[in-house]
Amino acid sequence: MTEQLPIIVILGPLLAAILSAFAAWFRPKWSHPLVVLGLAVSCAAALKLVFIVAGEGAQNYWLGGWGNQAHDYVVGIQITVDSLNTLLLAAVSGIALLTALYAKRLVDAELAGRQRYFYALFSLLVTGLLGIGITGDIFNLYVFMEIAALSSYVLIACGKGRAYMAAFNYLIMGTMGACLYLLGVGFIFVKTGTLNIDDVSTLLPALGQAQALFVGFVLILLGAWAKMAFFPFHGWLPNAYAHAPTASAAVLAPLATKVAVYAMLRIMVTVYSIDYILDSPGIQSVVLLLSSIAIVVGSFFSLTQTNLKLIACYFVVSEIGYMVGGAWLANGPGLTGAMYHVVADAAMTSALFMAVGCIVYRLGQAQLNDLQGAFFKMPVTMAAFVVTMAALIGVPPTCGFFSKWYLIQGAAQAGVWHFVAALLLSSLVKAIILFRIVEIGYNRVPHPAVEGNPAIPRNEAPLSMLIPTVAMALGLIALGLATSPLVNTIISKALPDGLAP
Amino acid sequence: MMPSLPIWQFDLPLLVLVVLFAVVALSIRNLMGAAIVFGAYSFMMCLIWAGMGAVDVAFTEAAVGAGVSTVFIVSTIYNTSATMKRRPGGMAFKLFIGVVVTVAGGFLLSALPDFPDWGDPNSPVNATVAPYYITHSIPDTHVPNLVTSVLADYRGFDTLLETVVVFIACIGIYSILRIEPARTSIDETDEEIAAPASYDPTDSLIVRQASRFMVPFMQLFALYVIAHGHYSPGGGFQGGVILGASLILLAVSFDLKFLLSRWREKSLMLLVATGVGLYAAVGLACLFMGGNFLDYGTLDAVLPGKQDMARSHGILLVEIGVGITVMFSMLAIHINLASNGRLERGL
Amino acid sequence: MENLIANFNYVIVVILMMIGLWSMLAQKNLIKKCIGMAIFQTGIILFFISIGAKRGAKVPILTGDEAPVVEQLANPLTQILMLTAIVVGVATLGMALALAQKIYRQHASFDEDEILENQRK
Repeated sequence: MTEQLPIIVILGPLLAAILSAFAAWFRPKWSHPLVVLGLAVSCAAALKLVFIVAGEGAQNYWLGGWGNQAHDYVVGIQITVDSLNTLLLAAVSGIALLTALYAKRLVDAELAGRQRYFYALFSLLVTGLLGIGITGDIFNLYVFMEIAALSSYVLIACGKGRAYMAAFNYLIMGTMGACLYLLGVGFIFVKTGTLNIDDVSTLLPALGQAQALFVGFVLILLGAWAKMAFFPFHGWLPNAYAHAPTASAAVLAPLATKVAVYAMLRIMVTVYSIDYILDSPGIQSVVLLLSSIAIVVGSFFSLTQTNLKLIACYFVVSEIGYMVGGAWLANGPGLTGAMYHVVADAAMTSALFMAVGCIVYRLGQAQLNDLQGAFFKMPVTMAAFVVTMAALIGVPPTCGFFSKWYLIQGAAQAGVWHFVAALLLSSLVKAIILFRIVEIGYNRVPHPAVEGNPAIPRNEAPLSMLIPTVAMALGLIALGLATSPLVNTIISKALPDGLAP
Repeated sequence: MMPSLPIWQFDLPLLVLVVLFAVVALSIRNLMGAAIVFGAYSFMMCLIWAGMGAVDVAFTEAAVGAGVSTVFIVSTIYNTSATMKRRPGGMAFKLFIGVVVTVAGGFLLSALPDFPDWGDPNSPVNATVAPYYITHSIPDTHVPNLVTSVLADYRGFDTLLETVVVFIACIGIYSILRIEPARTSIDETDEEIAAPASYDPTDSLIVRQASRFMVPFMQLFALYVIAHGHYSPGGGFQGGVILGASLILLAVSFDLKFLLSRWREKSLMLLVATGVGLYAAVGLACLFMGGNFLDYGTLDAVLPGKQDMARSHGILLVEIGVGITVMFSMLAIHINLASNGRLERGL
Repeated sequence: MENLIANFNYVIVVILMMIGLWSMLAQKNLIKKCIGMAIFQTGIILFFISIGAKRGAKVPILTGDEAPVVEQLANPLTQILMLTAIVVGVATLGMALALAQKIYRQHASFDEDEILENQRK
């Protein structure tokens, strides 16, 4: 049975989505539990796979039984779980499961009358993201990319007002990204004739520095960057996620961009190789510079915003710079940091958007000035929020500290000091924003415990939202404490030979 | 030796024409005109692809790209407006994008010397994995149309996901556009725009009688395309699109009410999910029979014939699933686009 | 130069993609953006079909009982990849048109600048 686990990771949410589309017309109330069930199955399978991969190494699975038994090359489609993607799969399915539980109340409140297919689309989005993570075929990755993209356009367009235009712009940008990726796949395909990632990576070294392969590499990078909102393609993200319904943003912001970063890592590390990057140093320094700019731009705009949702969106933009930069440092600590940060940042962004969602649910909106007294009205939510911000700043022992530690180590080793400066600046900006929120939320109202001051009634978010939020915030600390076993048993094995410590 | 000649002489003028049509479609100021020229562009593309031996792709493009896409654009324009406002300025931005695009094009062309010659049978693409399909399709799956066997069996997972994409498009467009009559308060920001009343589609007797005559033949042909996809160009997608188009034709020539009196919306949307469900269920059945997902060979215990015939029958089953989903999603997308999500009247 | 003529297809592909990409990014009209997107996608499809073409090959459908000759049959793999791409393309186009229609319902315009002005009010 364990050999079927890789496909179960995908099938859980896919079948749940199809069943939920039926239930939407007969028993609308069943849509949500069906999706939760599907995600739970997927999450259990993904967690089991983490242990199997840590123990036995990569697991391959051939759809339709078409492996490489009959031919020198794989003739069908392969899905692979190895040390590079197993943590990502567990994180994606786990976060999606928690978000699905969390989203129920928000969806009932924000999308009343329009939520017939919301959970089906939610589940399909997760299917697409898990698929990008698990597939071992570069064309299949494109199809999964489109599944994730199409469902996210709809999830964003479920919002009101400006959401449609934001979704339209995202659609244009996302389609451009997917098409560039597909064209890049075409350029690789021209030279190798196969689409299987393992086969391509065995064929590529013999082809050397062919110009077609270089063009394909750049096209795939551009495509992935458009998808992950890397500078200078970041324009669509803040609008799309800030105007989306809060429940949609809570699943899109942590997962969609991280999975695109994973796709880039997979292409860089497995399909091409780190040596390939080191052989073209011009592009490496350009990308590192862009990453630093992305971090600075994201941090700067997050300072200028007055809306908590938009601030969180610009955090996402700057965090993308961390991961792209870390990957392009192309040394051991840098890659470790990038791979670890993909998981850590998914968890941090998820906790952040969940806490913001709780605030929006109770206070109606998320302007900074509306937060007066928030620490007294919703103490648990705000505690989770502060823990999350601490993780984003990089306070030990949260996971944010460790990823930043690896990234700075890598940058120092490579001598890229502007990247170190950008990382520190970003932490500083996040600290400033945290202090500002504490100032507004705690200090601006007379303290209710002092005698004579007016009491502030408790108005905590409902438990179905609060528990996932707190669980996620505690998860950040747990993830931080588990750093060294994770890095030693899994991530270090994903590093290319020669870079592992 | 003339290795530099293209494989089909007619290609050169067609390729030039395609570029011309693309430029015209994008520069014409009337959107309806642009949609029609775009349809012609797609037909031109079909010819080119058919010339290169890609009949299934040409067939799909004729049905999907030239047919249904054009209908979608036209019904959107029918609901909105076909005129473009002329606005001054913005030239600098357009020029800037032009420069960026030209640089990108130059970069792409820089890889040109690296490419194998057009039509070279020994290029990596034609010599690495592809020969396996050509030599093994019959022994493995008993399907002479190689495109069908690769589509539905060797790379059947792609096709399942592609059906899922169509399914997402259908339920997504429903979620975006549909305004259910029960909902009393419509989003305040939605400014109401009355559907144009000048054109009454029900008044053309000729169109109605002609389509009444054509629809059964279209449907018969579509069923043939699905069922005969093992032996000739065609399959679930093409047949499904033609079936969908036959119903769209009914909706256009009569009116939406007429169509919806025969196909209730609920059953349309349920059938869309049924098609994907059938495909996934066939895959799951393989899982329960002890094989991998979508390994139709393991179905030989329940389907007639040996493993290769079981694969052939499995392919037929999933093609039917694809056909159902594609047919009803094309129709559902059309009626939502054409009536602005109200399903009352429209193109 | 000879290479350029031998690979005339690829040149057309690049031109089509440049046209489509320019239209997606620079045009202000939403419907024109959609059409540009479709042209960009067909350019990519033409690219894949071109790399799978074989000189003098037949349609990839076997006839009779004789063993298939690899050189005489067109490449089925690129064709099915592009079948997928076409269907994905029409799904995206439909979605884009639905969004455009919804935007038109709000702003009574397809012009990007006008919509943005409206939103700022």
